[in-house]
Amino acid sequence: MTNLEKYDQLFIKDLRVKKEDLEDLKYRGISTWDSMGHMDLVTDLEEVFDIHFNTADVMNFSSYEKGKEVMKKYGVMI
Amino acid sequence: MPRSGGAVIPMKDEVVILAGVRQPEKEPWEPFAAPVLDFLEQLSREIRRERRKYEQLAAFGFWCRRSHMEEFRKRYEDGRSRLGRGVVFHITASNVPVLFGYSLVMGLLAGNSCSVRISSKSREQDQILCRIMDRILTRPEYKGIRRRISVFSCQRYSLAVREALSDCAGCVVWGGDRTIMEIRCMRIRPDAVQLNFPDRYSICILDTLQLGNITEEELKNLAHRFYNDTYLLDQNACSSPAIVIWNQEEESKEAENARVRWWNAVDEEARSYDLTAHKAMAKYELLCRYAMTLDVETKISCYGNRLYTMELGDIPSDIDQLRGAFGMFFEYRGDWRKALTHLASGRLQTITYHGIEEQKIVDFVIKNHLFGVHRIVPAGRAAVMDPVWDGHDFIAVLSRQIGREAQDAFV
Amino acid sequence: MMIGEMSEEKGKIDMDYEMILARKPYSLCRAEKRELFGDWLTELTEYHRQHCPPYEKLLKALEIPSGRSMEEEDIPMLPIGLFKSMELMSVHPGHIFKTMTSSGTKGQEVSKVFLDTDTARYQQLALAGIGEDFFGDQRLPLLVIDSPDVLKDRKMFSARGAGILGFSIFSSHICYALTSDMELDTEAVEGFLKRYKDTRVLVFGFTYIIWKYFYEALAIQGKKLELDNAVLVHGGGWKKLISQSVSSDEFKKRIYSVTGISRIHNYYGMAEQTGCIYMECPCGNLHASVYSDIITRRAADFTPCEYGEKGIIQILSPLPRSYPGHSILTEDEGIIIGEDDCLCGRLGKYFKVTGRIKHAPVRGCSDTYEG
Repeated sequence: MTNLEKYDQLFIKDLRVKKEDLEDLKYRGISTWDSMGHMDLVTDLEEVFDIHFNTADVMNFSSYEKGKEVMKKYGVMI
Repeated sequence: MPRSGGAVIPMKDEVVILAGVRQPEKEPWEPFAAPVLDFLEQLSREIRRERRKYEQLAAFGFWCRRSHMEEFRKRYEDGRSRLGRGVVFHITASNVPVLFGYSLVMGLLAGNSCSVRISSKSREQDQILCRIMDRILTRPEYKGIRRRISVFSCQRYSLAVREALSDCAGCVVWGGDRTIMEIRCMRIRPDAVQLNFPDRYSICILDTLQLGNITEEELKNLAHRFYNDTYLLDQNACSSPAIVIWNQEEESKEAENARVRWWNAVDEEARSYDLTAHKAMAKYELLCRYAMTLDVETKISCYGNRLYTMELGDIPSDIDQLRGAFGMFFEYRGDWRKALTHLASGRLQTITYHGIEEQKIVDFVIKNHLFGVHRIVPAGRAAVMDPVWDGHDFIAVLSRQIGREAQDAFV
Repeated sequence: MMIGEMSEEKGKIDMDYEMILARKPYSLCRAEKRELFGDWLTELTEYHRQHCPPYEKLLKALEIPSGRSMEEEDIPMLPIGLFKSMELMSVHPGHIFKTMTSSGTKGQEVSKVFLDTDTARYQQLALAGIGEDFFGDQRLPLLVIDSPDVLKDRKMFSARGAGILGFSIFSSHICYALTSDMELDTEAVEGFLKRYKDTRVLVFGFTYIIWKYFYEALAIQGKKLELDNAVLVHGGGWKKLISQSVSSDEFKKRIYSVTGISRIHNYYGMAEQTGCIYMECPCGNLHASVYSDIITRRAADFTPCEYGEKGIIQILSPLPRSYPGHSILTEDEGIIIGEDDCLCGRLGKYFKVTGRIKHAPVRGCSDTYEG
């Protein structure tokens, strides 16, 4: 599986969204991406990619696209 | 065990064990020991499975996830040799949900056994956390760590508290001042260390023009985080800002618009706040009392009852006594340095900021030899627990460092 | 302002008081009352602004301009708790004639209400007017279900004392039913009953005290008093009785069983606005008289509730002149049922009190090392 596929799958699982909705997804833009959903997503991303976000980046991770930039900072190219 | 409606209420001098054992073992461990990290990892996982609707519990579970604890561990990989102290006794305020959990984790990470006294009036989330912990601890693979944890409830002045206090190698007491003074009068070992967290208050510094220039989306997110810093704990936590300092040189239409835009965004976020009749009354009373007693001119703005702000025309003589609650904020416009000089009594805990350089605040505090300011974090992170809290380093205080010339002198 | 103008101003206000106090207590219809109260309370707000500096500071902070005429709903409210933490008065301290305190539970802070002779007189007259409407203008013998000790200090007395004194004044003979130790004074009560066997009598007391020291004492002794001719008036709140699960109906039934009293009136009122109490009519509704009014408000934004909707009770009365207590937000909740159309025939708003605002646990890290 590519990094992108893994990345997408975690969004789909944790936020219960469809693949075609991913592009425009924003934190608190849908009901499932609330603070709970956010914590689930971050925990899973950290586990799957074996990284640790600092607190600032947990907060910077504010959309599907923005998340890719944050991942890059930790050496994960999506 | 007497039970009443699900909550366990101990009789006088009775001790109800909520998680772990009655008497924790005394043996000190090295900080960040593997069994401790394994236990916390499991705890984090199991909280995630059953924490829906419990916001603070969920945040605690997220906080003690493996990668985060590992990050803490790395911070102390400085070549120095540390070992825990023995049994650390914790007394925590019951009206901050799951606070006892954070305190316990700090004690464990530093290499100690922990006994934790929680109020018999503890809230639902505390009870659930105890249940999850106890469930994990009864499994054979956590036998070793189980011996090092005791979470119990008992009456306020019961024998159990006095015993735990007189035997412990260290104690952690979470305020108010009155509680801390009471505990200080009790018998404690001469070599025991004490970490006290008395009454504190906090402020927020926002750069007016900078805030006026951020996008709608950024504004919304920032307001949401500000909501988490304040409303989520009824604005009663020590780290919740009571005063917002608007950093600006002179007043302008632009500045005014920026402030109005900000409070409208906060008001919007506060729609999800559960403002009961009791809170609305208490808050209105607080507002009126300050307006009637402060020795400076004030101007009140009300956004329904969800949000009240009180603009201070000048710096009142007792500015460090101002406290908000349930979404009531004091505002001061001007240079943040001038305000901070008046505000920074020893009680000033956290500065949250936006649009100001963190280093500038740190430099100002040090250069001016201020008594207060124990934490400086970006707006939205007032309540994020860290091993360095309120001016103390949990790990450093609750462990002992074995002094060695070769390492300490030259690392 | 010229002295001449000032006395003219005072003269007008005095006339208002004499006029309203001369009226029948349930004789103003909605339109008349709205107009009267809007004007009068606006004027009174100005008066307190000029005479009570902390009150002036509050109005300034709230940016309430001088000289704007307000409707009843717009009159700024003082939260009732302020009377506990502050000493609020609109007269020179030398003119304080009585300081009244609320009946707080032991250890609690009590409200302090400062009365000059005028305000005390207005409140007394208002109570008399209300009493007359319910019991007629004949002064009736009064059986007080309390201890005479409550009235010991005449300078500084409690709401309990004020209630007793208020009712005493339009009574012909007073008998205290309890001793200083709060025990039933059987001898005194029996003497009273004998003397007024065939007369209409008034029985007055605080709800909880009647229950605890009168009803329970009688029930334990298995005694029944012959009070069929009596009217019982009681107030002071249900809080303590609700915790013992005693409802209003239960209260009436039990009191009847030991005394034979069938005419029982509860009333709602408080130390911060004495005199203008809200009496319960035979239909079971509490009534606002011409001396005061009530508004219920929503917790979310303090906007007024609709009739039938539960809200926080605000009480308004033009009587308080010596202290800024003409518009108070209480800590009680209630429901206004309607206005001018209660089946008992009394004009004005009628309502029910549902209880004290529930104290939800509050978060935060202040002192909470509890048991």
